[in-house]
Amino acid sequence: MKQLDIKENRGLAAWVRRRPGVQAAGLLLPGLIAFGLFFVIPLLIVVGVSFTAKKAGTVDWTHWTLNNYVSLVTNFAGDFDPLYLNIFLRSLWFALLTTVICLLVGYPLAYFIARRGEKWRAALILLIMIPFWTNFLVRTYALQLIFRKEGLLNSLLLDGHIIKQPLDMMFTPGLVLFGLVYGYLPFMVLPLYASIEKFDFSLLEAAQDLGAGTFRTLRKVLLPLTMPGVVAGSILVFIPVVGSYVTSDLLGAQSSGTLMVGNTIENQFLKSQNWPLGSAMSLVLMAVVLLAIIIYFRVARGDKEGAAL
Amino acid sequence: MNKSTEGAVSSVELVGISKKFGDSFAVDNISLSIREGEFFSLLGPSGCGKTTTLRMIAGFEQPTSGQLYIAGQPVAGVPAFRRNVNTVFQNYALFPHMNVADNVAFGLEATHAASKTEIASRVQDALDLVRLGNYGKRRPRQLSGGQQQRVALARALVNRPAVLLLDEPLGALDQKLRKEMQIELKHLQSQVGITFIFVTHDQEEALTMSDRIAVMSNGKVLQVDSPAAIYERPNCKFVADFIGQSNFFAGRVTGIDSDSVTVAVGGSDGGSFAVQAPRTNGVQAGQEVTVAVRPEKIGLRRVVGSDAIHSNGLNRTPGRIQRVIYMGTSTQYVVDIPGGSTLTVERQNSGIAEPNLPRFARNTQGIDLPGDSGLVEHEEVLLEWSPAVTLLLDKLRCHLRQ
Repeated sequence: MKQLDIKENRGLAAWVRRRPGVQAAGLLLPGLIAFGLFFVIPLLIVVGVSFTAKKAGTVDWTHWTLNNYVSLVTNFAGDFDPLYLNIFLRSLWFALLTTVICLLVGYPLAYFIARRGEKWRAALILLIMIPFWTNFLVRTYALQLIFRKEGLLNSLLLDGHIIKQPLDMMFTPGLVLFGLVYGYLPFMVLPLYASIEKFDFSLLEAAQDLGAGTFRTLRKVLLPLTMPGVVAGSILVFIPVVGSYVTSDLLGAQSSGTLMVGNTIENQFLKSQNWPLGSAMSLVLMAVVLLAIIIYFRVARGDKEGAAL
Repeated sequence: MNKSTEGAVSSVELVGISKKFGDSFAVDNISLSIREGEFFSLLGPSGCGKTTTLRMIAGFEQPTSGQLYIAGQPVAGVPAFRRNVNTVFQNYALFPHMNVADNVAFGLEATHAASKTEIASRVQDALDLVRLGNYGKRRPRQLSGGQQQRVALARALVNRPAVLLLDEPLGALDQKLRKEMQIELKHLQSQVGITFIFVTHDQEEALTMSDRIAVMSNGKVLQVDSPAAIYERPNCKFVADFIGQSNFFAGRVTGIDSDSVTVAVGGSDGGSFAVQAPRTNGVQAGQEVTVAVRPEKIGLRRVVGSDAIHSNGLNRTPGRIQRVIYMGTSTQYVVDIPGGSTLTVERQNSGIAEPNLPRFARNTQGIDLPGDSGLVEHEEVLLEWSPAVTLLLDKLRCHLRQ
């Protein structure tokens, strides 16, 4: 016993063990390093770049300016120019529409899956996830093949004599929206499923037993109790869609009415070689999304008085 | 349609109701007439169809065939939310995101049955009724099981339904609380005067609370009667076995009198003895029957010397005590009788049942027999019971599907 005590009181390990603060710091260190390396430092670099003057293809760390932020809302002459503002608003609008449509489609779908038997549930969830195994780019190209003038959909409709002229669907806002909904629907369905699956369905019978019709049962019982899934799914769809650019690029081809902020940022970095302006746009986008999320949480919490979480 | 039974108005009437799930009948052609203001229990083992019957009355299941009437009106195709019945669910099914008062108000708000201020006062009345007047602001999960149970009751009763359906509502409570709730429920029912249909597998619960009980098995109703009638005059072996405890003998009718029947019971290889039972309709000589007698109806006495067996008109058999089980209020004796079978006898411990005490302790309960206290295992005894408490059961009368 005595020997053991002596042993335990010696060495670095014992020294650390006696100091909980040091111990905690040691355990946190790997996480902090990863967080710093992959999140904080890159973000700081972007912040830094956004305040430098334009220099094609590289960063001029010697000239600092606020011009990048000013030029987001002005033209060369220094007058107000809503060009970028409109693109930002369009992105937010597309993201909002995508989120709402995903919610309207995803909720019944998740509900349907959650009410199947155990075997069916697993199979159906797998079906939802299988598209993830294919590259997003490839899937978006596949949509092109379906919706272009000579594509699958038009030839089917023509063969079926439903239409006489092929429909011109490519590069329309509607198709971009469709592509976004298609691409991000699983991000809505999975969290919704997780929260509907936990729902106690006998509560639906209780509500009906007490005289509540279908709509009231949904609004007063099912929806409030599955709100965590709605919130999580909406955030998981909204955030990536605001900044998305592949879908609008391939299905909208940067035509007017489909250009999103993601495309504009991409253009600044790859085509215009204007890294500082691209960085400024990225940061403004981040701030806007953050604001949107805060507002959303406020509203969602107000709706259910913080009960479901 | 306004069928009446024995002068009373039917609150709920089932006519030839069946419910099929897949190929099997959960409920098989049952007919029941439940009276206005009655405490009616559906009693049976799990899987007997009692809950399915309740769910059909509530409107959660549609009968495969047959007619269902609530307050004289046919309710086929009427959805659950339009039926003037309310349910207390087995797991209570309280809304976890609402406080107690909002839970109770849910039905009144859903049906727009009252103004806002009236709803508030009725909710308070309902909570007062179940003695939870100060718990309106609490969440269901902050309450104990018994309190949640009472919230569920208040939530149902506040709507003043024509019928209250209770699906094993006391199943999740511990023994002591369950006894309290049984009394409280019964009291509540007489207070509000609403028809209660109570589903349970607990025979004691059904006997304690019900005005009438329907015993169910395999989707069929075997017997509908008052608790005393169900217990004292079960109409078949299943009921006699399921409600309380019974000793059964297989036997053959050897003689029929004007008011009694003699049955030879026990094996043919000796050990056979004659048992007298009241005569029942349709009994025939030579018929195979089952004779049943409740353990507490059997008297027990020590064999003293040659013991003159004077005929006192009782059914009687010698036996040898195999086991003595002390149970607090009573003692159970498992007795081997000739013919290889055993009988269970239960005697109240109205005297001193402690077996090591001297024999002056006597039991004067029940049939007037010499003391049955102080009996020990392996003792030779004489078992006696009155022909009046002997039940003659014909298996066929239950129509049990095996």
